Parts: sequence; C-alpha cells; structure tokens
Amino acid sequence: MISETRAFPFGEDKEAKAAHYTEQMLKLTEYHKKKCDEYRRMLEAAGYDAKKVNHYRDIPFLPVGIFKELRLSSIDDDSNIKTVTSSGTSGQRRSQIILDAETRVQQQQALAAIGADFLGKKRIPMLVIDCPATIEKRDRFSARTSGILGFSIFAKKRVFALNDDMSLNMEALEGFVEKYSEGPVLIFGFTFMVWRYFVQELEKQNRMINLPQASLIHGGGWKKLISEAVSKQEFAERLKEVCGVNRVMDYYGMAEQTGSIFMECEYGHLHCSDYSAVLFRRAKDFSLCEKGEEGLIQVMSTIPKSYPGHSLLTEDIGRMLGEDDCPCGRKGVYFEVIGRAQHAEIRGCSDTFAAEH
Amino acid sequence: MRRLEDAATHLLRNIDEMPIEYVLGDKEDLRNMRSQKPMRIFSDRTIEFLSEVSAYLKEKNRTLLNGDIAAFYFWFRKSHLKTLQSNYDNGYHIGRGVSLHFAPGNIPTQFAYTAAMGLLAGNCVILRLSSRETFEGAMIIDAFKHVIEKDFPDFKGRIVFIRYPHDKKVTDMLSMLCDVRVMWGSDESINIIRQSIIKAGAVELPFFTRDSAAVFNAAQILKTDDLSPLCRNFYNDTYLNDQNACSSPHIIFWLGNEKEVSLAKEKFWKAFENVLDERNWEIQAETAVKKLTSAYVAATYIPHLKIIKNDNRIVRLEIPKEFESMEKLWEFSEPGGYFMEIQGEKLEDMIPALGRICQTVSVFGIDTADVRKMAFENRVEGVDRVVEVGHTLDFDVIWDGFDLIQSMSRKI
Repeated sequence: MISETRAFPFGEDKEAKAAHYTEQMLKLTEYHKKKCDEYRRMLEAAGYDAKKVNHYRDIPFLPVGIFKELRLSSIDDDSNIKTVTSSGTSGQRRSQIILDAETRVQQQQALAAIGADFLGKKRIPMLVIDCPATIEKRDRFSARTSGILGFSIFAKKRVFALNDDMSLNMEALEGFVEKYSEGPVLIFGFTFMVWRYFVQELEKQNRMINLPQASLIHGGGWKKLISEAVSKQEFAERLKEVCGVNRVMDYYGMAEQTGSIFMECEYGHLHCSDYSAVLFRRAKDFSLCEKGEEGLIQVMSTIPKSYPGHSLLTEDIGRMLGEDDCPCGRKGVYFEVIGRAQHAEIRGCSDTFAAEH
Repeated sequence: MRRLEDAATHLLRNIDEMPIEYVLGDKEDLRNMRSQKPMRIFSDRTIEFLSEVSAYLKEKNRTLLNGDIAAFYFWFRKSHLKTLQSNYDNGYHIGRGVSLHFAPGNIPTQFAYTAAMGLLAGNCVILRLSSRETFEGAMIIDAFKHVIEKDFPDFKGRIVFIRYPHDKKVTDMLSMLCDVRVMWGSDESINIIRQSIIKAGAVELPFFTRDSAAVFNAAQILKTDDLSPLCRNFYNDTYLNDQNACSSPHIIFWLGNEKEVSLAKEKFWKAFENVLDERNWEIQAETAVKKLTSAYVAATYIPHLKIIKNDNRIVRLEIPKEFESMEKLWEFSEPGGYFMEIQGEKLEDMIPALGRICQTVSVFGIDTADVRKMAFENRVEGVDRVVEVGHTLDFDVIWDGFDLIQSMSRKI
C-alpha cells in the first residue's frame, strides 16, 4: 500500500511552508464552502472573507466538537464512504467523520511518509496491543480501528496480542517473540490499552518477554493514565521491563483529522509534518500564543476533502516548543500536548443528578 | 394504600446497607421521620428557627462578605418571613408530612431555599445534596446544625440532609417515605428520579430545565446617559453565574425599530464590556470552544445568521427576523456568555419564542406589568415570571408558576 510518498515529510521551514500551505488551505476552504452547505453557512455567519487571508493562520477553524453535532459531508456521492467514529467515552456522543476513498488513500500516504521517517521504509512484523474484533466489526469504525489499520501499512505480518475479552493471548505473544525477537518489530496500541492490558497484565502474571529491537508507538492520549498517576517516564520504564522494548514513541492525532499524525522524536518532541500545521490559540480571543505559551491546539491538514475537517480547533491544551530547530533535524513546528481543556467549574442550576452518573 | 405503607417500612429495613452519607441529622432521624407530626404553615416556631439560622449566617458573614450567603440570610430575616406569613391564610393550613427534595447541583445555596420552603410549609425535610461540595453550602449546613443543637432540639429529627451516589434502591426508599417530592434538575435527572414511585397520595413538584429571555427597550437605552447600573445588574443575571441559572437570559428581545435597535445594541454591549473588564471576568478554554460550536451549529439551522464577537467573552447571534422557528432557538442556547438577539417593533413579536421552556423574562425600559399582560392575554405557554433586569436570581415563593407553600401543604 505504500505508494508514492514525499521523500522527507519534515523538510519545509517556516517561510517555505507559509507560502504554499496558505494557498492550499485557501483552496480547500473554498472547495468545502462550495461542497458543504452547512460549512458555507458557518463561514457566512462568521463573516469569513477569503480576501483577508494573508497566512494560513487566518483560515477559519471548526471546533472538533461540531462533528458530534452534525454530519458534515463534502461529497456528492455517498456510495463509497466510511464513517469513522471517535472513541468517545461511554454515554457521550461520538464524532462522525465522512471519509471517501480519495481522502482515505491520501491519509495512508501521509501516514506512510511520516511513519517511514521514524520506523524506516522496510516493513516489519507488528504486534498490535488490541483484539482482532476491533478491526472486524464493520459497523463500528472507531479511531482505534483506523489507528490499527493505518499503522498496519508498516507491517509485514500482524499479530494481535489480546483476545476478544481483552485478556492476553499468551500463545500468540510467545509465537511472535519466538519468530521475530531477533529483528526490528513494531508494537502498536492505544496508550491506555498498552498500559492496562499489556504492561499491567504481564506484571500481574509475572511474565516477561524479550523484544530488544522493538519500537512501540502509542497514542490516544494520557487522559486515563493521568488519573492513575502514571508519568511518561514510568510508562516507558515499566514497558522496557516487561518486554525489553528499545524505543517508545507517543503520537498525537485524532479521529476528526486522521491524516494529521504528530510523532514524537528521539528528543521527546511531537513534530508537525509538511502535510499539517499546528497552531496554539488563547481561550480569551483565539489569538495566537507566543512560543512556549499554553493554548488550545489547532490542527490543519491538506488531506480532508470528503468533509470540511482541514482546519480544526481541538479541546486539547498544548504549547509550541520551537520551530525548524529541533536537534533531531526535522523542520517545522515541534510541540507538546499538556492535556484536555479543564472542565469549567459550572455555577448554575443545571442539575447533576443525571450528569454524575 | 396499606400495602404501600408496608412497602416503605419494608424498604426502611435495608437502610443500614444503603450508601447514604448523613450530612445533617442521622439514620435514626430518617428512620423515624414519619412519626413526626406536620406543622402549620409559617408557624412561629419555624419562623424563629429560620430567622435564627439567618442571624447566625449574618454574623458569620460579617467578615466574609459572601454575596450568596448575604442573599440567603436577607431573604430569611424575621421581618421578611413575618410579612410572608401575613400573606397566607394561617387558619387551618398544615404541612403534608415529609417533603423530599433533590437539590440542583450548582447554585451553591439553592438547596437551602428549597429545604427552608419545605419547613415553612410545615413539613419535615429530607434533602439530597449534590455531590459537589461548595463553601457556601458547607456554611449554611453548619448554621442549621449549630442552631438545632443550641436552641431547637425539636427540629432535630425534622431535617435530614444526605448525599448518595445515584442508587435506585435509596431513591425508591426515600420516595416511598415522602408526601411531597420536589425535584430540581434536568429533564433527564427528573426522569431518573421518576423511575421510583411515590405513595398514591403524594404530590410532586418538578422543576425541570428552563431557559430565559430579556426584553430591552432600545429607545430607553439610547436615552440613558449612564448604562453602567443596567450593565451591572445584567452582569448579576448572567456572568455572575456563568449564565448557568435557568433564569439567566439567553435570548434578548430588542424592542424598537431597526435603526434604534442597532444603535442601542452597540451602545449597550460597549458599556457591558467595560463591566466585564471591571469584574475581571475571564473565559475558560472549554467554554470558549463550546460557545463557538453552538454558534456554528446554529448557523447551519438559521439562515442568514450573523455571529458577532470581539473576543470570546461575549458571543452574540443576530437572529434574522424572517427566521420561522423562533421556538427552536432555545435548542441553540449555551452558557458562559452567549446571547441570541432578536429585534421587534412590538412586544407581541416575541410570542413565537415564548414556549414552555421560557421561565423568566427580565425587562429594561418597559413595565413588567405590560409583559405579564401580553403573556397572559396571548396565552403563551412559557413565562412564569417577569422581573426587572438584575432580579432574575431573586428567590420567590412562587417558582415556575407553583406557589411553593400552597403546593407543599394542605387546607383543612
């Protein structure tokens, strides 16, 4: 599936990016305005004027939560689409993202190019910390599913480490180790799943496996782990203890903009590729933060064509660490994610009897 | 009937195993509550008790100067309770027995008002507090405790405040114990509580999710030199509680011709921004994002909508006059400084928006009586109260159209 990709997706510096990225974003905005009636109405209500856009930072953004409220589509023909739903916590509404074949292919290409820069171009055996059912259930295409399917393009052979009841499949695991422990392998999973069903489970069973050349990629957020008070460092250390993994890489991404994937480099920085842009905005007026200042994360991607998701304001808080000068050599913005925007302390008579549970 | 009463006794047997935290009063008080006799409404003893609580809080608040506490003790001061007493026929008017209250989560002192009304109506009170503990709440609970222990041992056993995680078994038991069930909360919360049945003879007061509107007379705003008093009052109605109270306006109806209204709006919001600066009101990131989301969702439903904002503190939606489904506007409502504005030449133009969900109409530059009359004569479904701007959060014995005292008592 790895088709034509950019040689090095972290090659553009600030100036180079500003010029052509702005143009691409303007075009995409016009495209969605034409194709998606709801999107057009939003821009009109907000008084959007393309003539006033001098830089991609002037492009309007939709809050990611909008996909929980509306089904936004920019395609005429609904026949060959997939709907991705976000892995929202139970009881909450899930996002609905409309993907057509073209957008899906482009996402894969972007992911391949970005991933190759971190994992190498050769396909390697992949151990998925999840159960096979996650990708088998066709009716529920979740962020977990698309994460696994997406990263599977790096896999020569794919093995699931969990049974469908989330217990460890020791047989599969041992088979994988026996066959592949000599060479480089990829372990992939959602952060919380890796912790709960892999690290903690192996510890509980007092078993260790040895995959000394493994790179582990995990994403999906620290939200659940922070509540268990697990630091990034502890996560990596305990992982190393149970499976001897060589490298642990976090990534930041979301179901609402699957083409945007931000990988953590060897210096612990999340990197924005040439396909994406990342900006940080102040809550007070959505103006841009200074470098180092915490703000709401905005993500942009040139990829979404089937739905107006090319410029999104997330509910995550992060900050820019630098631009074009990470010691890892990658150009572009590098940053860190700090967490979710805090739930505001609500005052008012909207009751909690239902909300508490 | 006998069987239902047996059911209550039966349910009470399991009280030891129930996950109930007793905040005021204890398990025995709850177990024996049905043996307490109701009292006459506005009994002198109850007035004394509440005014004692009020005095105690007033003293405690002398250095704290907490606004919510001040509003509470001011309302329950003796002279006010005496005035209210004289408004009711005190002859043979008695409590129904046990009143059970589900307090709303987030107005910190609201639980105390509903509990006190239960007492004034002559009832015993069981009150479920929300899990959110507040400074003001703790202070009032402490005052009740103190006053009962010091001078009102006869009220021990008549008031029990509890907390419990949502547990149907507990709600079943409490519901079977009570003669009046008072539910403050979202429609969803009320529906959950209603899964527990009450005695056939018990009554219910549901205070469900409401929303509110304001009416501004544009000409009056243009005539007023100093808008800061109005703005401060409006601030108290809205941003003080992050616009979360049911009585906080989300729709503003601007009365006047287009020209006047557009000038008045400009003048008002400019003055209002100054008050926000003055009060250092800051927006939370999550609120800013939610407001933008709601505004965009509204834009897809409301043709030719205009979203107006300088910074994220005030988000205004200019609703075109031609919009045909004004009654649907409430669905786009959002707290934290979010206003949907409509212009109209006469009061009657706002009728389409006055569905059942509309609770309070607050007014500036127009007589409250005119609005009340308009609502009554046009038989609109909503509008339970009309007040001057600045008074939306004032408590009243008439709430959502119910007389709380009448509804929780009976006449012989």
